[in-house]
Amino acid sequence: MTETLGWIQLGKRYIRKCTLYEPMCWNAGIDLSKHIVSISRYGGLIALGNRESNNGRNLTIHIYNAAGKEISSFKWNSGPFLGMGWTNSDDLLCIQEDGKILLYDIFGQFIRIIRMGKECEDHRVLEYEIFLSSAGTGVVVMNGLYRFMVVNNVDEPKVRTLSQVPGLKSTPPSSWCALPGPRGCRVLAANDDEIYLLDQGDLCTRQYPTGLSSEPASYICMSVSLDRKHVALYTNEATVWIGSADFKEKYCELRTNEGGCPKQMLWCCNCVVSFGSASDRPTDDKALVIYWQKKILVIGPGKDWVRYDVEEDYSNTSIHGAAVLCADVDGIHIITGNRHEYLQHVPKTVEDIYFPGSVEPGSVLYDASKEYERQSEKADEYLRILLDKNELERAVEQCTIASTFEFVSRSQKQLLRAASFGKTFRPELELTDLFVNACQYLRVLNALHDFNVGIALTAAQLQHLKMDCLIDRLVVRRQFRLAFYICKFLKMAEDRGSSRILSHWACYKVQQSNVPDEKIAYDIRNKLKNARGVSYASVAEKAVEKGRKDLAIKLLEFESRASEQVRLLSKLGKHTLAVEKAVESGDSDLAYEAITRLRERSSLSDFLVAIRQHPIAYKLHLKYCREQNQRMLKDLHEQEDNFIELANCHVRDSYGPIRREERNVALHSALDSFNKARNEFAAKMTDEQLQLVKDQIDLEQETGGNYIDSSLHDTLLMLLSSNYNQKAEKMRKQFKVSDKRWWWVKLTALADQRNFSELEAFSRSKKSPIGYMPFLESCVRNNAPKEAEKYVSKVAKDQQVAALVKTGNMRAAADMAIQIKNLCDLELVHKKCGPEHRDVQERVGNFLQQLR
Amino acid sequence: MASVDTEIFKKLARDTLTATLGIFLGKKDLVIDNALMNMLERLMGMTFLRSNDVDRVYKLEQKEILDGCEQRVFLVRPSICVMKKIAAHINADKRSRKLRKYLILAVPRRLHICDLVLEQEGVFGYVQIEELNLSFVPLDVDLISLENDSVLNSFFMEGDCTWLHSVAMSIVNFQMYFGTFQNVCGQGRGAKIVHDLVKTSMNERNIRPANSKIDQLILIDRNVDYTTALCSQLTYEGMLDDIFEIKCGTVTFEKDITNSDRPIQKILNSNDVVFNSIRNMHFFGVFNVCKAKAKEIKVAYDSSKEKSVGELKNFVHSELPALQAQHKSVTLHIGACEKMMTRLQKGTKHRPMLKETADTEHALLQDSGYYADYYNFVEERIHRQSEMADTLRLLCLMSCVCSGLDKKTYKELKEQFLRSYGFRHLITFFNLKKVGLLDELQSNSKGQTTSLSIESNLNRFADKIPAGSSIASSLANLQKKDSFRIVCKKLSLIPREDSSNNQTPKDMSYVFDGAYIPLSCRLVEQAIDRNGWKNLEDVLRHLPGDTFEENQGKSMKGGGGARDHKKTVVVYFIGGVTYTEVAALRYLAKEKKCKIIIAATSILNGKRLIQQFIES
Repeated sequence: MTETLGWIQLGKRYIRKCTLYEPMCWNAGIDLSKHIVSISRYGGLIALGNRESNNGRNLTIHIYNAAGKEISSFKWNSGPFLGMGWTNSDDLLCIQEDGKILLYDIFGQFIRIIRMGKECEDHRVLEYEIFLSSAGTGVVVMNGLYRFMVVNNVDEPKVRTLSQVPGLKSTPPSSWCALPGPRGCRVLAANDDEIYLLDQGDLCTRQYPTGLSSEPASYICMSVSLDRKHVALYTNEATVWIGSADFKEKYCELRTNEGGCPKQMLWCCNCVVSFGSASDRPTDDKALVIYWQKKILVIGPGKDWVRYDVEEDYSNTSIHGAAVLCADVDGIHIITGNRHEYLQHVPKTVEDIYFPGSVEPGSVLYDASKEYERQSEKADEYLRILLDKNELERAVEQCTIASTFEFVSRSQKQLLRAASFGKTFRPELELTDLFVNACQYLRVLNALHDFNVGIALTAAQLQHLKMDCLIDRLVVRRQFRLAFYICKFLKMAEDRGSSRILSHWACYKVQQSNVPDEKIAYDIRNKLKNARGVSYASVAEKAVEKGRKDLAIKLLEFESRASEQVRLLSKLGKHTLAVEKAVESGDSDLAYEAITRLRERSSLSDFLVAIRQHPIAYKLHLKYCREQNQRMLKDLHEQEDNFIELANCHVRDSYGPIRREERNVALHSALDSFNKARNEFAAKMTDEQLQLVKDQIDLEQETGGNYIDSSLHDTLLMLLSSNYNQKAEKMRKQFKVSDKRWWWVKLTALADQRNFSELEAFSRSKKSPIGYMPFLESCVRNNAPKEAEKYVSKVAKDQQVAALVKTGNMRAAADMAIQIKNLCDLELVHKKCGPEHRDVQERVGNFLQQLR
Repeated sequence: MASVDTEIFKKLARDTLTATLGIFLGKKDLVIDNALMNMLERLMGMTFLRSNDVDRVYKLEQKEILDGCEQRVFLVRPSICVMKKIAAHINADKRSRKLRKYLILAVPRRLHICDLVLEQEGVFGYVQIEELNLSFVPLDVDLISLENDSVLNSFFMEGDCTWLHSVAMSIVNFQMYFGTFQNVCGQGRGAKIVHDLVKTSMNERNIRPANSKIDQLILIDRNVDYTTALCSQLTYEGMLDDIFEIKCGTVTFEKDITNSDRPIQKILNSNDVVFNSIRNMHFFGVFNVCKAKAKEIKVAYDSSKEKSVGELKNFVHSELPALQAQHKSVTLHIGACEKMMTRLQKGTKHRPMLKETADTEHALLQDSGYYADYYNFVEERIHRQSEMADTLRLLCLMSCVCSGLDKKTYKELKEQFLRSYGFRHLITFFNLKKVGLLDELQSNSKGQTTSLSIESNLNRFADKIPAGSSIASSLANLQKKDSFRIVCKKLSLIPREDSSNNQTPKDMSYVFDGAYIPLSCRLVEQAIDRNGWKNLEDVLRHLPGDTFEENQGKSMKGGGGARDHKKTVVVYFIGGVTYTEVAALRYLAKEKKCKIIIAATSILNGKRLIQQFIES
């Protein structure tokens, strides 16, 4: 069977070596042994640096995708180059001998520098290891004093020194490796035959591998698995001990019969949980891979081993057979000059299906589908087995899941066809979902595997990575188009899918320094106008970062969130524009903030010129001044020739407990402003007020009363009430008080003084311009109904009944109403009669009925 | 269709406050801004505050509070003068070496200007400032208010849109709980700004409104219809507000009404059965209803005498408490009625007879030949020095009805007014002119030739001139020449026949003795009927501000079965609503068989409207 071709049994499990890319895109003549090579996890980016470049001079670093297609290259122009490695976010760490670590992105753009401290600078870094931990990507280095320095996370570089290796003389530790843990990375180091676990703060414990058959002279190589569960030790006697990372369990010990130190020793194990596999069978796939110049040895925990010859294919060609290995989370990348292979344990599901003689339901279904294609009746037979055992569901599941683990589309299709065949008999929704999901995954994976993209992800890895993270990686690689289509294809929500990609794309776009601003702004707007939730502000911010202010401003035009827009504009120093945008947004608070910033950052005159162009902002500023800065307010009005408002300020000033000169000054200023505003009326009134204040001041001096801040009417009333009749008369003339007002004032004053005789005399002095009802009313109000009645006869004829009612003389009112037979009057009397006038009410009531 | 439960706003407010007060652990004192006092009392109550570790509650005044515990929370409106007061308090504490933690809760949002003032006063470093986003206060099942009076002053007079933002946020909030409005229409500059703000903030904050839909939102600026708000109120609730002043849905009856030794605070809402039956009635009918109710209660009481012991027990348990509550309520309302009756029929030195005033107002509204009499009436008020706000109210009413006073009248009345009430009110007149409450008619030579085409040209021209400039306001005057009368005619706001039979109202005009249908309510009626402003442009053209309309999303399921559902409409008054309008809209809701929820920035009456613009 072709499906199991290349499978090799290792103990109870099988391993397989799948070819991902052959040939590679790069020049096949490349000799990897002459290069420093680093391969990234989750995607297999390859970084190459020529080893013979003489300490970093003339060194060029090339970065390739998993298919060997060059993504970028850059000339090394920094210090002595030691080595490099990838972070888990696909950035390249380049380590120098002086302990400086330079971070580059995959396009060779320098990001930042991390320093390992003075000790490393003084004593050179000899060796390094880059490790992954829960905190991120970390680095361990060993310097010339054979001391280990750790940075647990390159994103927050904090250097920690580990304890020294005990008993170390002038030679370096015979071997060491990093052991990341939850509380930071530790180091396992061997001083010949003694193994120590080095921790921070001079903590160090000796480790004793269990069940060692013979004490070796020294351990020359060691390796810890990615999941930190397993450890392997290689001795000078070519023996391998493999066991648990705490050395308490020994898996096996094996004599390899190889000479010399291995080139690489690493673990191939499955430390990601994928589709289905977690739920039924926890996998414990582990194997140690040792690489010498010409062969690769794979050792299983049960002392089984497999040997691959590296050079076998290449013996007669010019292709160099040197390989580079790199452990990934579920296998090992093996890269040689012309191919990229992936060594992994055959996923259990796949094994179950293809393994000859397997009775797993998936396998039966697979066979059934094949028979069906061959139009053989066996298909029915197999299917019945499954249906009888009620295992069809499980079979479909297995085939579907297995398909995702296959790299070759032919096998994928074959398995999916089997699944689909089985599914027709069990149309459950869950199965359909699973099937659709798997198809989508495969589509994405296959798109990623295309050599142009060159991301060598397995299904398990993608599951672990999550789609969002994949999109991020694509964005980092500027695979915007692919990322965009993947999002559309998977129908991801816009804010984490297409919109996010578009904003990243836009951020990248603004960095294209050779394209003019207009073009970029236009392109970005064009692409983004239909995307929801794109933050133009963040794109603009990127433009600012790249020193393209004008472009940033253009982009901000499109930002819909005013607060973001204004914030950035202010940051750009475009305070005037910020004010304008803030005002447009309708959010006054934002406008205020922008205005304040404008005020702080510019001279007063500039500020005034700027703010006057925005009426709303101007109004807001006025409002602020009114409460906080009266002086400024007046200046503003003056400059604006807004004389009415200016005058109003002065009018306000003319009240309150101030000295008389100030009052005068204020009023004169007000008068002046009103004149300038050509408001004759207001000017006249101000003039009058000036006169009034002057008189009031005199009055206060003459009489000792409080007149200031009272109106003309009140002043007259006060004078009359205090019997300063002469003075009142004088004021009346001076201010040409109308007769009506004068009569009201005098009448009120006299009635309130209960000076009824004088009141009567006043009423006779002349024909009243306000009638006589007010006289009557004011008497009633001052509890003098008798006095009130005197005025009844003077009240206009048609109001006399009402007048009588007001005096409370209901009997007389009734008499008169009956006499003149007026319905309204009669009703009025009838309504107003209280309980004490029952008889009157009755009489009127009767009369009313007669009239009706 | 969503059923709108306004009580949710109370719960929301409480939750927000609990969460915000939680910033300070343990005991804390509360210092409350006067402007928020009534609102908080209505929403929270002391027991609730106590359960949130509030120890003592103070009013924010000029005077410093030196005692109290170590944590102090200021609950305030974010304004400059309030911040200055707070700064003074903190500085006083510093002087007397009191160590305290301060938290300022700005209602409903934190403003940059407050930070600025606190910084200038040198206390910014001592305080923590947070927002307390209190939205609506549910005054009743169909009435919600932001209880923010200052919208009138700050927006209509000063053009400051700060509070419009809060209005917009309240609508966003509303939509989050009750669903999107299918049709939004509005009239007025403020309404337009609010609508735009709502749209942008729904977009940019990615707010997903509740799934259900609400049929309509009608936004109306107060300056679209000042007239209604200026008239004396004649419905029971309206008169209560005019005479006793209702604060945040609560009225305080003094001793002379309660017949007891202390004043009584009464919450006015539909839970009070008696009040609910009379609140929207024209006042004249109220007394009889109250009397009838009192009799009913008496009968119920008396019936208990003939009951057996078992029945009596049942009666005491089930009916008596309700009866007692009703009895208490009837007594109070009868007391209030008596007081109102006196006010209606008797004048005092500074308060003229209400009946006469109301009749005069109605005559003015109905008859364009009544100006001279009205003039004399107002002049007498000025000479008598009647209550100033009331006199101004009458002046403004005249200006609004006539779309401006003629030059001579304007001048004369102003002069008389200043001589009576003081020169400083020159500023008051400028203020009133700015907001369009009191203005003079433009010279006739220009006005008469204004044909329609010129008018529309002017409209276009006016858009280009920054608002608030003198040209703009004078242009606006040209446009609105006699607009009130035109609108009256087009919307037939003045009923033909006299429907003064107050017992059974025939239309919304009952709230004003059948003299006038409130313009704002008529607009709402039209908007409901037409589901927007369709074909109403001809009328709206004569009203100030922008007109807009938007349909958001289709009605659910193609309107199938739409006949069955009761239409729900939210009417939002930017700048306040009067109880008279509330009554008229409640009547409208009954007539149209729909649900109308009235939202407003505050509850207004003529006096409070005017007072916002009086120079103090």
